[in-house]
Amino acid sequence: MKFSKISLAFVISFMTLVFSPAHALDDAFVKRTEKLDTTSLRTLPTHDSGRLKPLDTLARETMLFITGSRKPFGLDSLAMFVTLMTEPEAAKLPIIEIRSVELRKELQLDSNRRHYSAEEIQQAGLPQKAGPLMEKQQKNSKSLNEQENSILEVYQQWALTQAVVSGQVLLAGIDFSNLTKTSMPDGQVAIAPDLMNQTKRVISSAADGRLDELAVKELDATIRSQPVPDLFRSQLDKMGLEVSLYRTHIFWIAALLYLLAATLLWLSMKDARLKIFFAASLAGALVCHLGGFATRVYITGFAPVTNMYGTMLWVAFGVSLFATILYRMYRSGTLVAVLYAGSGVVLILTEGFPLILNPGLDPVVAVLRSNLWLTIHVLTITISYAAFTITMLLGNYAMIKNAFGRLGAAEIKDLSHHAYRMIQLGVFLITVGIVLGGVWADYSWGRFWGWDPKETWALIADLGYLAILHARISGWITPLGILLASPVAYLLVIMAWYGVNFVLAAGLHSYGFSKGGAMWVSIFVGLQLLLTLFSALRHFQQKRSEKLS
Amino acid sequence: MLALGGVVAWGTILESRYNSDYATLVVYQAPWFLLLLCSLFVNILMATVLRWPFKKIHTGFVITHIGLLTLLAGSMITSLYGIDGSMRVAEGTEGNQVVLPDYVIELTPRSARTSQVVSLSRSVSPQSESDLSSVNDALAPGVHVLRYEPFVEASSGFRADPSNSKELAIRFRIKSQFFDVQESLSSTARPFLQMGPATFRIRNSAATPTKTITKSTKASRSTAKKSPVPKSKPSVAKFSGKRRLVFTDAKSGEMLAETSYESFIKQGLSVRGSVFKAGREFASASVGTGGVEEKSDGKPNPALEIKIQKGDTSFREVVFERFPGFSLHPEGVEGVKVSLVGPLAETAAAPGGHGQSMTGTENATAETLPPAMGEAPRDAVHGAVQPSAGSDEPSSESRNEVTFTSLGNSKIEVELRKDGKTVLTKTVGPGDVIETPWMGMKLTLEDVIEGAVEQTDVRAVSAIPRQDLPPSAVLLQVEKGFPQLPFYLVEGETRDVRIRDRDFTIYFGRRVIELPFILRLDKFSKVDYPGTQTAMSYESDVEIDKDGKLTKISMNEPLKRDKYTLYQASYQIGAGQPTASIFSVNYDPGRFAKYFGSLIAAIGIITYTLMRSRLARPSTKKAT
Repeated sequence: MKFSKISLAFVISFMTLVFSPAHALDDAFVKRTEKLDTTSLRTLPTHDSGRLKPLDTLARETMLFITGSRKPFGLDSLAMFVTLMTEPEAAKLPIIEIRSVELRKELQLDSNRRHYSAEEIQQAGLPQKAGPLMEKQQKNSKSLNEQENSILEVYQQWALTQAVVSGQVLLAGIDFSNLTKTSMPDGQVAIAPDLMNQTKRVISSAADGRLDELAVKELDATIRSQPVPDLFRSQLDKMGLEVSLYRTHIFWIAALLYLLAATLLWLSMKDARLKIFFAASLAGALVCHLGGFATRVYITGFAPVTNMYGTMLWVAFGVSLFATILYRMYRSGTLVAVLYAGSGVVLILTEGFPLILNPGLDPVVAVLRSNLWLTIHVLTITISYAAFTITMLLGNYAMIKNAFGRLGAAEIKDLSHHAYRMIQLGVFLITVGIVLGGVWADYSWGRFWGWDPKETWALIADLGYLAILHARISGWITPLGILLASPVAYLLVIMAWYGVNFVLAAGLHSYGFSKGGAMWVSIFVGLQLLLTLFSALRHFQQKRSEKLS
Repeated sequence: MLALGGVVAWGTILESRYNSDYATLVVYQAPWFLLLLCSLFVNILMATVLRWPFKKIHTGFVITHIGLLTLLAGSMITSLYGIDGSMRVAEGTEGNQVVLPDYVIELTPRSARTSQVVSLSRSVSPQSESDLSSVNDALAPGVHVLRYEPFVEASSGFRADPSNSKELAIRFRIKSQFFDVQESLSSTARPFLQMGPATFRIRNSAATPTKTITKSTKASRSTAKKSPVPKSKPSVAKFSGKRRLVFTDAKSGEMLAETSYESFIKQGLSVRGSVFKAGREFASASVGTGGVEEKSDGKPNPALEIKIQKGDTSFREVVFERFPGFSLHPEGVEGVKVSLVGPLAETAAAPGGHGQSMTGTENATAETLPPAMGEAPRDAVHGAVQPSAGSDEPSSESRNEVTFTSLGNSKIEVELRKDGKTVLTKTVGPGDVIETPWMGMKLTLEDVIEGAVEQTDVRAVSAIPRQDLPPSAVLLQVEKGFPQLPFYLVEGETRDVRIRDRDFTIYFGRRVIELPFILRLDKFSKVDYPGTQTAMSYESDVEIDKDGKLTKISMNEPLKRDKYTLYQASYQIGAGQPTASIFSVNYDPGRFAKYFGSLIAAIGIITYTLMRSRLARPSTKKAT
């Protein structure tokens, strides 16, 4: 169980870093925000990024971008969103997170803080710096360096803050009048007087500290009475569902249940009575996980595996699914406990970095609008990552256990057999996935194979594992060797999965591109390589001493 | 296998640093990469064959590997015989020309219709004459490729060529604290140049016959630049002020027919038994050494490609509204000359045009030069000012003007005028510097070339990360003809040459093939998610062979016709140019083998896993 404890500690340290204490906000503002009950506002339909979403989601996404947190300063993001509109001194509130330390220095701001007020940012001259950069970006979006990108990001945060305070974000969200037009209007559209007046009533009641529920109801009815495009019609009914999906934190619950199940399974090795609790918590975890995933599918209408967040959810599910199958087949408790813990950790990582791993449900770019292919190709490829994740976990488990000298020959053989099985499964799935991808590419881009980075790295990962399989057949690699090699081969999967989208950011699979987290991934890669090197050295040392004796 | 993995990993890194074209050239299309794939093929083959005779236990193994062999074979068939090109069609126009990624040199005799096409393999390193021996062996005698430069920056300049003794060119440089620009002028091909608020002109008063001198030295200063439409061109007022196409007899200049631009685009016209049809339309054509391309940020320079058919013979012509005298076929096609006349041409002097608009004496030299190339500046933007040569000559009254007048023996009289008044006159030779009274600007006369030939100057550059690759160029030399000296052709350019006393047009650039059907783009639309500018889909409504039926091509929904498949690959929407769709056109003879191979391999892996697991089970039971 050592591994799971270690990983828990790891996760906790992660969390503390992510939610590092924020600089104190104005007390009166905090109190007013805390007091304001915005429950009835949550399900107001708004439109943003090509879909209808509850105001709760719009507010959370907006505040996340501005402040870097989903619960900024411990406050409810929707309550804060609304209170900002009633705050006369909003420009003085330090709520805009400048994520780049270098930029804080360049702007000569106090670099010990993370959050700054709109006024401070303006006085530091950031808006003037951003102008020429935007022109440069328009000419060639790839021409900006990291620093320049941070300037633009802060500029957007700054501009968005002002749009929130002035009520523009809210009004643009609830006004559907430009949805039914074919092209974007050039100038501002006059907002319907009803919508305007009711919004004013709601906001001014919020300024008094208590929402006028009647006004909210009327506003909701007015918003819903606007004409909407056919594409959006069915989304109107899903507002409540989406709010509850987020508000229940269903994937956090699933993650914790996985960790609980892992602990119970481990304990049940000594006390069989605990088995029933293990089964219950595992079932709970699976239900939450799958339920959450299914809800996302239902809300979006497509398989939400179009970015890193979506695929990680799916991989975590694959890991626990395969772990359960392994448990049914081999009844090896400790081992499977490690896998469940691994699945829990993957889920926590997935949920823990909303700025990097975007959990949004916004619609996909044109090329992905093919449900059949998207589903079968991406799900097949990513479920193979789950199989490889298991082999990685098995390898690390073996290496850590070996490091403490508690790994017997029989156990090595068992573990390596499991790993071998999982590699076989993974190789089969990734090969089929690549071929399916090829067929899709052939169908929609006109070529089966084009040496696109994503394709190529999937192939490299496949080749890496194939090398292990071939080496095993020809007897070049010992059972321990398989356990040592699979985590290393997993680095190829990381490259194909994370690296292509976040580091290389090139090629036609350009819809999942993002950035961030490179440091953490590199640390993981480094630790993994060190651990493997250590285990290999130790193994050879043991062999030599055996020979000598 | 590991080698392949390592190599392609390198490829992806290159791709992220540069772009996919570059990575393709360096890695995926390199001969050694093909060799690596072949050795993989042989390896798998040997591994399979060596297991002969197969036992039952080998079933899964053999099936899997046969599948892989089929898959690889399919890929090779595709790369050898497949077609993967792109085709741009503007809204309302037709197209059937597919541009392929590989390079060719195409040599077309002026009098014949069959042209000789020789492929030239693309690379990222320069190729010398010895590397190019296979290309030279395949080319017609009399033409040699001396060098291939993978990435160049081209600019037009002039150089001495004894065959063109009457032409005078100068190179000069102007420098101030804001800019530093090198430019050139030539007496017929590039007689003036507009740079910011200043106009530069050249007068060749020394070498030319006296008749011209009188015209060009004094009289023309104020009048020539405002010269109306040349008298020789028939301009009947029927469609006056509107864009129209005028067909004249090549010899007599007599007008044969006239039609409005719109009607010509729609239905073409038949003149003297030749059928003239509209091809590509250009809103701002950019002209290299005769090659025409759409330039996105260019000044308006409307042009039209015309396809001419007489019997089985077909010709191609490009006409420019600004330069009505220009023609790819100066002697006319089947005795007919066609020109595009419009408001632009009627206000702009047509400098360097085909003699007709200029004083008569320069005809002889201008004849052999593709005239439009002098006017259009190359893409290179020097420093802070972007020169634009020749198109709209500004009125001299309110501008700064620099006039270079040749006095012979490389001596040039430089006259600086401001608002029509002379402020400085000085006689200089090559290398001399003139301090101008304008913002400390220095003017250096760098070179005087007597007997100049317009020449594309080429400077080798390296590929710039994350940008489109620069064009390639070839250095060509013709025997016993014109031009006498080696000259560069930059990707996409054509040039008229004379080889062993025969006239040819030579083209270097991407291979172009014609589809067996004609596609007309009715409408392209980008459908956005409501309320955003994020595209939901890209759709083109097309009609094939004018059958009256509209078919939709959209992302994920290609069109299959004959053996070709057309995909919506890209689009162009922008101010000043027609909306256009870019289709990827694909023919893949190896498709079946690839799909079949994949299927077999998948079945093989399943068989293998199942058979192994049944055999492996007893041992795991023992172990636990």
